[in-house]
Amino acid sequence: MKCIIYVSKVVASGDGLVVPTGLSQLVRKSRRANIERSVTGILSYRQGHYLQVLQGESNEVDHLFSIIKEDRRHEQVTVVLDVSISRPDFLDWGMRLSESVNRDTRFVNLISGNAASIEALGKIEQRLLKIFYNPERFNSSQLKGYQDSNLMLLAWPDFTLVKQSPTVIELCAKLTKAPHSYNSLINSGHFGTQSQLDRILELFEKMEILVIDNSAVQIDSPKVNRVESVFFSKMKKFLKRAV
Amino acid sequence: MVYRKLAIIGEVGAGKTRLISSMSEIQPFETEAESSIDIGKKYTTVGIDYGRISLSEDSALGLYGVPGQERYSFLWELVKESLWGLLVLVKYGEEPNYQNLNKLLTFFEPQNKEVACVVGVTHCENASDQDLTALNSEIQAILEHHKLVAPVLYVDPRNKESATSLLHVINSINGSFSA
Ligand SMILES: Cc1cc2nc3c(=O)[nH]c(=O)nc-3n(C[C@H](O)[C@H](O)[C@H](O)COP(=O)(O)O)c2cc1C
Ligand SMILES: Nc1nc2c(ncn2[C@@H]2O[C@H](COP(=O)(O)OP(=O)(O)O)[C@@H](O)[C@H]2O)c(=O)[nH]1
Ligand SMILES: [Mg+2]
Repeated sequence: MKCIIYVSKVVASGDGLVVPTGLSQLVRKSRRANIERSVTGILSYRQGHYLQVLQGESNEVDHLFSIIKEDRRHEQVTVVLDVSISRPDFLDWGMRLSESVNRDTRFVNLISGNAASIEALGKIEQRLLKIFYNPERFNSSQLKGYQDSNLMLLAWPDFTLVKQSPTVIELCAKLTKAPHSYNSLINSGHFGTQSQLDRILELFEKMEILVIDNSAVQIDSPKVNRVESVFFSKMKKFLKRAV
Repeated sequence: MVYRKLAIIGEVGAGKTRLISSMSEIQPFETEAESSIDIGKKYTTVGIDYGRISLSEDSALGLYGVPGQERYSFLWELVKESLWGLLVLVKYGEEPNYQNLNKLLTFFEPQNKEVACVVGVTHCENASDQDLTALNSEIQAILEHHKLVAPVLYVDPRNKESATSLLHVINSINGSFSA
């Protein structure tokens, strides 16, 4: 058996737009086709690039990879790992789409298990891999918890992975606008108990959208335009009556 | 009088008309139906939907359903000013027209005008999580291209609660400074 990991670039359309067009269809088809070939793995999209892990019988993986390499939907297909393996890591899926492999334990183990090959990679290959996998990218809360830190979200979450509830949405609206201190979130009482809030924040961390700033600078809430805040309050009142 | 607009933009069948009628249902009291600002009737023939939510005697939100295709961009002009929110509806199961979506976001520039922007994925009640994650990646890539930080939410325009929750979301985004 073998494992290939490659990184490639999504082909930009005429107007310079880089979108992984047709990704859902691609994933659906690949999942089915790969199960037939007993090939398993992960596909991830990030910042205009794909990373794919393919695992299975050597001839199957090589054959599939030779097809994928020629696919016009991507270019500059660069192999970052090509090794033999004794058993596959991602047995449960023909092809799983993952928005973040950085916190995927099985992916991380696969990389660290092949640390020597990864370190031997050239600069370009290393840089491509870093788009997806960079253990130093975010401060982790794992040791310290969120206490006394300021939190911010880089993007809204994938709502198939976290519940699309009013609490989560309120939290995201706040944290995508400006950094807030963890303590102020707890004290507001809007986000449940500390452990409920922590659980949501841990999901955000897994998705790599949470920025944790431990510099302990106190953050003031930004000011709002008065007309806006009047309309906001009226809408809020209206929505309360509407339920 | 404070009058703001919610622009609901999407391709044919995305759910604009249905969503506006669901939102109108949440009206707790009668609207002053024929208001001077009502541009509705005149434009229904070219496919604009109009609804209105009165918040109090002196404030209201106009709901404008506008086609997403670029050839209707003269209608985009109508709703561009005094925007309270921009809601883009994407119909699951059809390959979204990303060129169009790109033009639309270039036109409205919600990121520069600080207009709350939400993408609502409709017709997705039977979709698998993996398919929705894939669609989410595609849409987020466009948003990223416009340096726009906005949620991709799953909505059912036929459902009153789901329709109302969108108003909550947009209000949360607009109010997230003050609350
Ligand atoms: C980034 C990327 C990853 C792909 N991964 C797979 C895959 O895992 N399995 C697969 O069968 N096709 C995959 N494809 C599609 C193949 O390149 C090719 O289009 C497909 O195998 C052709 O199948 P068909 O002849 O049945 O249409 C991928 C394409 C791209 C651009
Ligand atoms: N199953 C399903 N049907 C929907 C959904 N949203 C809208 N529809 C239906 O799709 C059809 C088209 O919706 P409509 O509001 O007319 O779309 P418009 O062209 O954007 O105005 C109507 O029959 C709606 O009831 C949805 O999320 N799921
Ligand atoms: Mg309609």
